[in-house]
Amino acid sequence: MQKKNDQNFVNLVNNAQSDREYPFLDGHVIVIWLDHSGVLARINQSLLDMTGYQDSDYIGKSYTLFKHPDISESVYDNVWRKVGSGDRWKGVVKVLRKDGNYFWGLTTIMPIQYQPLQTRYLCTVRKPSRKQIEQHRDKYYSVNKGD
Amino acid sequence: MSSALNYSVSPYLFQNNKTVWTEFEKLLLKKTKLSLQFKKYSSPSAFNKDFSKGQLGLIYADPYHASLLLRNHSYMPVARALGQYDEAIVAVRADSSILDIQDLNPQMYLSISVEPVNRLLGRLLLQPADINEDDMVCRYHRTHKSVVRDLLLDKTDVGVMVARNFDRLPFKIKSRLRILVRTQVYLFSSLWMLSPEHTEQYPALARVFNRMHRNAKGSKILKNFNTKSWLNVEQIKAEEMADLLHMLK
Repeated sequence: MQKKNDQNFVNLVNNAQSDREYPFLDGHVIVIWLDHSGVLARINQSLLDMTGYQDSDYIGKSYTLFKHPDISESVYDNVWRKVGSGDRWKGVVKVLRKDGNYFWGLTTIMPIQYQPLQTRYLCTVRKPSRKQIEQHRDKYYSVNKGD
Repeated sequence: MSSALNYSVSPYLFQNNKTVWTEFEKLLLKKTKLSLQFKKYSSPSAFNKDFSKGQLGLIYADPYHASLLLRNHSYMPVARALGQYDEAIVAVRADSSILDIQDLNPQMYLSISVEPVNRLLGRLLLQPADINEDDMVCRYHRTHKSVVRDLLLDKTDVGVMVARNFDRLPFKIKSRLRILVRTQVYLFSSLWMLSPEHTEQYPALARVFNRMHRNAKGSKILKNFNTKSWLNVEQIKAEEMADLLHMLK
């Protein structure tokens, strides 16, 4: 009974904590190599540190693992259209953590010259400024309200 | 039959200690029958001139030059130092009122050492404050020592330098400074790069680097490079580093 109560308490705490903003860790740069269909091929330690995932969690998974429900499909369509045509895309994105919380990341995606292991795209996520976060928070809020 | 191979190091990695290079040359000659000729440059521009002509057979190159050698001159990566990554730090005086990177503003003075990767990583570290080095009053220096001097003499508000250079400062100096932020990318390394005209030497060179830590003489050489061993570097890792540098610059 005690064990069940403990678990309920943990669930309560986890639920209470979900969808909270998590600060981007100073000095970190998340680096992700993606294949042609957006599946994660290789990542660096910063991604694990920032998202709370383990090394084995991401293998064979799509980038959508980190897609926050507040970001509309049209944003991602726009990203893939742009990088698919050989350009780089840059923007501030709300990134979903394993625990349901999120962080804001200044994200750049570009097609890469060298294509080992069938990787096609390189993605970096860096710490944005507070101003950039506020601008994008308003933007996504407007989109979700249908403004 | 022995053949001569001229070699050098990026100006940012140069050690003005002749013994380091003599011992390195002796070991390579003994293990590979390869005669090395060290080319010392009086200035980064003289190095860049020979570098851009692809006139050096073997180069210990900082990440930026290694990427250029790889992409523009088809050099092959041979080895990197175990556990050594190029990271940058932003530091202030210990008694500074600046407590966070977001306390920085464009009116402040910035001193920065000019290693290309340091400048790139410095830009990343300043970005959360919505400023870059062009916004600030900048003092550029060849070495981190001048950046440290600026900080200690109150000639600048903030300094950016290669993290390992900061780490090697005497405690007495370090204790008068405070790190605001340090990059943790762990993907940029200085690399030994071999010219495409000498690819037949690759197996022998890779083996010597790989085994250098196994004897006393080799370990002594490694100590001069502040590492315990060299690790052979796959082409893919060097390519990934070049892609990442290209993206972040």
